[in-house]
Amino acid sequence: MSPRSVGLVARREFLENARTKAFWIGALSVPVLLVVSAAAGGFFASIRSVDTYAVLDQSGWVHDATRRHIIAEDLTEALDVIARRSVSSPADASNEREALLAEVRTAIDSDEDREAFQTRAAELIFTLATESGRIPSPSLAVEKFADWWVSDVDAVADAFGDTSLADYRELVPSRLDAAHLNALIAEDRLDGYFVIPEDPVRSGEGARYVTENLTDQDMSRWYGRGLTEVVQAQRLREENIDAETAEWLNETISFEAAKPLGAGAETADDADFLAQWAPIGLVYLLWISIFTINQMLLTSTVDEKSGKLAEVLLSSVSPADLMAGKVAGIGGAGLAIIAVWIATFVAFALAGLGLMARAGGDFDIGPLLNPAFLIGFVVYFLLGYLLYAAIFCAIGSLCNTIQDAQSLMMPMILVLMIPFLLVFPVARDPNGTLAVVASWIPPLTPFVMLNRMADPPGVLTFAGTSVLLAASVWYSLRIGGRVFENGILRTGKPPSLKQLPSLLRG
Amino acid sequence: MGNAIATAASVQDLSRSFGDVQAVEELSLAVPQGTIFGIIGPNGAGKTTTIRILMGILAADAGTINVLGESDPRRIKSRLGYLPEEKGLYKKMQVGELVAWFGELKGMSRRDATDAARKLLAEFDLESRWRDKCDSLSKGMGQKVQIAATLVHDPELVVLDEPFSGLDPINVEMVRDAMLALKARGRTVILCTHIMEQAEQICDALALINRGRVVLDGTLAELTGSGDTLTVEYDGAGADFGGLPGVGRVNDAGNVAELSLSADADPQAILQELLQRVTVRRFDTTTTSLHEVFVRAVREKGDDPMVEGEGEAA
Repeated sequence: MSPRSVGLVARREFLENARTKAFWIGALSVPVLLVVSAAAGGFFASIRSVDTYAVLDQSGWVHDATRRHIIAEDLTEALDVIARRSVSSPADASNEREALLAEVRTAIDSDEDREAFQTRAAELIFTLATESGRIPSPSLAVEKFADWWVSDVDAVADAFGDTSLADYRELVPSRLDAAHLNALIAEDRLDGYFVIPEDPVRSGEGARYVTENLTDQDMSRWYGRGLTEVVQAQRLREENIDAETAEWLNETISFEAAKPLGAGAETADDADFLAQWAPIGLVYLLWISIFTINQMLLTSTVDEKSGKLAEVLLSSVSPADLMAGKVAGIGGAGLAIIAVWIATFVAFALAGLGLMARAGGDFDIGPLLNPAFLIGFVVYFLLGYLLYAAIFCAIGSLCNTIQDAQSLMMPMILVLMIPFLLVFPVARDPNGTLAVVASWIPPLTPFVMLNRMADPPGVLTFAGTSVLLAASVWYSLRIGGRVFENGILRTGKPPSLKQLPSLLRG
Repeated sequence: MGNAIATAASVQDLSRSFGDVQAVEELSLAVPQGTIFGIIGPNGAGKTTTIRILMGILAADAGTINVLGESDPRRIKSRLGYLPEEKGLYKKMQVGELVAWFGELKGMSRRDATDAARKLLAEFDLESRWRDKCDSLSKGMGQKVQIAATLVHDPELVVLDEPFSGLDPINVEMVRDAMLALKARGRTVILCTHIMEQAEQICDALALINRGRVVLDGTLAELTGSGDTLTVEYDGAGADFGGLPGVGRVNDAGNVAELSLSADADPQAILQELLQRVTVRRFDTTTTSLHEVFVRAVREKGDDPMVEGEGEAA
């Protein structure tokens, strides 16, 4: 084999691919998709419509209690967000809102302070909301906060996107009767209204949600959940069951995920879950990479054969050089695409982390950048690509059209589907019988071994499966090279299975 | 041909089969150095298989090969140039880039290959298409680019398989001039064709192949001889040439006929007889055409020209 000839063929293949629209579309698809997703997410969030509701409360008290419940939940969410902010002096804040939030952050520094703040804020907000009033000259942080909450609801919803204010707003109309509310719905000023029966504690019969849009039940479910909690609490009270007892009665048992550590165990955090899932993402990436790049290789080989180029090339280079150059050049082009994808993903992840950190979030991307994963990915990509490349090249050399190639490809596609289907079974039980057996089947080895890296098997398994895979790659290149050599100048229809042995003999 | 003449390439008892098809069988020929040598024969005769073996693309089942002094042509690919019958270009490559790349494949440095490509494309009136993509070329232009890619590294032995197919008369002349220029520089050219008239015009020596064997070889003069054929041009579409004295085979093309003469034939007597049958416009004693030589040789051996089959690599 001549390294110079291989290099020249590889250079041409790489450049020819790099100059195609398909290459740039492929390379930029992921970055564009990420940018579009981010932009679309922001856009849809910005244009998200807020549903309005009214309540016809025949009980006279349940809706007020539900309002308090909703305010309390929203306040918990908002104060969680504020508590995650890094403390900064209100004097350093860039605007009035930032200054207020900084002041609140200081005011809820301890658990006791936060509880007192939340109780007082809830009371103030409830009062101001039900009376549509304002605090004339708020001086305390809690007063300013409550006043801002009821006077600038859009800003509150914008600052605390997970509160109910971001999705639902109560409309308090001048007249609270069904006819008027129906008219408001007809005029598109109201999305729906709830009818609370006279005694929902005794029976929920008669509770209704009136709306034109019967397919969207989100608001009904949200308000119903709050109301149910209020009613259930009242029922418990009437049965003389205090809140603590009720909570204890309703408490469910859930197991906390943990990892073994020495004699004990360590609670699993987000990073541990990410480490568990990262190999699955890498297996999908490996599968897409191998499949996509080998398709490029197949198309290029068929093009060369059908374009009558093979013969003139073979008068200059050997079949082995030609095939090796194609595999290297197209593999390089494919790797360039994958590298752009990975770089984009890492850049987005880091940018996302930066944004989260500024918002007070805390997340560890370390597991994704685990060197073992990256080295494993590169090694298994190279071995897996070469294993399939030889076969795809051989198939391409026998076919004059992509249609011919597709029929010969069918068995290979079926083989490639197996690791795709094994991803979740192997992830659930990385050292189970299925995973262990599949690891030793060379066409599956790259995918299954990468899949098992969340709970890696022993070094001997890695070494053994890698040696077997490398041997299979060598054998595959040898057989594929033989078929390529004898097939590339062949004319007419692709050979039948019976004719394949004669192609191997030459 | 005498052994005193240096040979650029030769094969002895060459055989090659594809499955049940015997493409070449005990074929021997020698290509004199510095000549244009024709390998002539119908489709499927074994020409392409023979030259693929000479170019080191295919291996022979049996026989010996010598190309520019080497028994294995794969070792000297950089000294050989090959334009196959089935021609193709990388459609998305630029013309200049493609020709230079083939020069690099033949061992030239990138700079030398680029310079040589520029010079050769200028000779073929294609300099202005240097940056054009190959898929923008007409068929004739594409073929000239392929010939340029074959010659860019100035090979010592060039094999051109049907180089004139698809070319207009002006480009045919241009390619013919290029072949003559190669010969003038001492290079050896093997021209493979099934069109006998082309070979007759340009080749110094030829081998006629049928069914994988050489049926005749020698210089053009040795093969066509002199004065044993009458060419008759006449009015009308076909005529009765039966029973003419001293005339053997007749190759009647409609208004031109070639009449093979026996040793004791009298052209005057034949002319007198012909004048009673048709209006003769031309009556000429000529050498035998290659076509006629080929047909006679095949008939003498009791063969028919074979037709290429599907599925074989030949």
